Amino acid sequence: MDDAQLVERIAERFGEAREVPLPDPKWLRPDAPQVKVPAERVAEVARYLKNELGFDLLDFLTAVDWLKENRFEMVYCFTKTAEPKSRLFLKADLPREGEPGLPSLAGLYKAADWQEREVFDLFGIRFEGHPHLKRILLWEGYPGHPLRKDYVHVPDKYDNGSEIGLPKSAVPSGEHK
Amino acid sequence: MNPLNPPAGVINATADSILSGPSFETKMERLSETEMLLNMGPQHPSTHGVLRVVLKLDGEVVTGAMPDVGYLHRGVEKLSENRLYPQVIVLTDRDDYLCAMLNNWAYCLAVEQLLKVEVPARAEYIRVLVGELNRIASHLVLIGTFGIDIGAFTPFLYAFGREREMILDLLDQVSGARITYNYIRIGGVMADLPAGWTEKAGKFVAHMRACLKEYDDLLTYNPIFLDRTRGVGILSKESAVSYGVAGPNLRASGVPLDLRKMAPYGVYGKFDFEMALGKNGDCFDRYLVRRNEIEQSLRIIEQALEALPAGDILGKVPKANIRPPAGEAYAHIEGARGWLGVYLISDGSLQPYRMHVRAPSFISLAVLQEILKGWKVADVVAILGSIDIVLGEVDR
Repeated sequence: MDDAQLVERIAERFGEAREVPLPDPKWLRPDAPQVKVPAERVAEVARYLKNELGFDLLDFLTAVDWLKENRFEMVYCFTKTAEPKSRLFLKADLPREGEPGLPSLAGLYKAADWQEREVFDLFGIRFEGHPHLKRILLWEGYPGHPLRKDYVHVPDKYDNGSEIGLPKSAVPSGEHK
Repeated sequence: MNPLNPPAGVINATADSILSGPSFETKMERLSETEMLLNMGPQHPSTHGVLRVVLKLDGEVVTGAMPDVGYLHRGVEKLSENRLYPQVIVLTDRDDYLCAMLNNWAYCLAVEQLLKVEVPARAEYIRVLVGELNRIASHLVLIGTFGIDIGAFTPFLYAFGREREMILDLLDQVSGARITYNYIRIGGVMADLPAGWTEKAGKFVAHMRACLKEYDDLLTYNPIFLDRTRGVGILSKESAVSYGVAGPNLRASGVPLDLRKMAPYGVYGKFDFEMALGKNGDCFDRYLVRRNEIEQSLRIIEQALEALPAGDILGKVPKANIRPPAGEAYAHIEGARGWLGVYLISDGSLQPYRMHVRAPSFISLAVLQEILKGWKVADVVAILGSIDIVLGEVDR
């Protein structure tokens, strides 16, 4: 089954699925089919990919913040243990406002458990049905989600060494001499 | 009331808040009358870095485990959005500091996909040479520290203190650094091999072969070592695939999957080597796969030294202002700990729009919550050691 057939088959099963359009005609892409589905159907599509099309390995999942277009994009990369050359990218758009969320894949692929927590931690995207959706790399109560493009760093004690007892001379002034 | 062992029916929030402050919630359920929580780490000699595992124990048997990571989080992905493309290579060095060459490589492959630059043949061979040497060095750390974890001190002195140092010397001579190399560059490598290096590398290959025998006598067939590792901490095929574990840990569970063989990148298609495979997915198999992989890496190095062509070491890449055309790329390679992937998005500017690292240690570590169950506290150390994680990469 070549790439076009694969996309066709997914589109046949899920009416809303379509190949991800290029943002502009010169846009470069990895050599693998890319399918976009509505966010709320991600888990269904993943189940189909796993059970019917043999994509048994979830390579990675992450998110991208497209601030100018006011959307988050979830990116999933699936592959097969028997045939690691064949890959499929599954994408889904989410609004940036409010509490963006989509179904969790943790029940299907255990790999999604920690990686979804990472996306939740760094992007603030919620995964419905995740067994343990907690921050994983940062601590509870951390202000904001750093991988969002509009995240502003709040200066803390580490931005000014003098507050942790370093002599003034040891604190970089930020100016070049 | 003993705070570490509240009576049955008391939700472990009490014990939790004592152990870790109110913010941390484990997904463990209530403790029964005979159970207690044990906090292992974050400062613990056998966690190989700053890792905390909350164990739920019934006597000496682990009934639940919850790893807590993030102590070394430096925000590499965020930092890279504010760096020039070549500057990001330096950050990747700090992800998995036991095989920094491979980190450099994965990132450079992704940028090269966007730039569509051709890497000269000599540079490809040098990448294989330093990459495989670094893989051996990384596996030697596992052999050494895994031995220490379960009581065998001597192999550490040999593997870590003798052979690994030889490799670090070789890599120091090509790159000028022992650990963080910044050697593989976008489009090739930083510098050509110094005079006499290939002979030294050839000598090392012969030396290392003899040493593997020594390790076998000291560790591999040591009855105590076998007792502590065989049949312990079994990771089933199905579980390993579901967790997305790839690399030596997956091969130890008996799944033949190696990108160098099945989806070759660079010049790996030209080498003759075998895939090291395990059968049972226990601690011993995870050790043995790495020990055998060293042998295969030596074969690859030998062939690469023999076939090393002359020529340029850097492709046609601008000297400054590297500006890949807009687009996305995903490059993954067979890292020392599993698939090491870099998902990169360029908006046509001087800095990456987004860089995501598929960190194999992070993904392998998640299996801990499952495979620790049912084993004794002493086995926790063996199982954790056999998974071979680097916390710098877990937390990024």
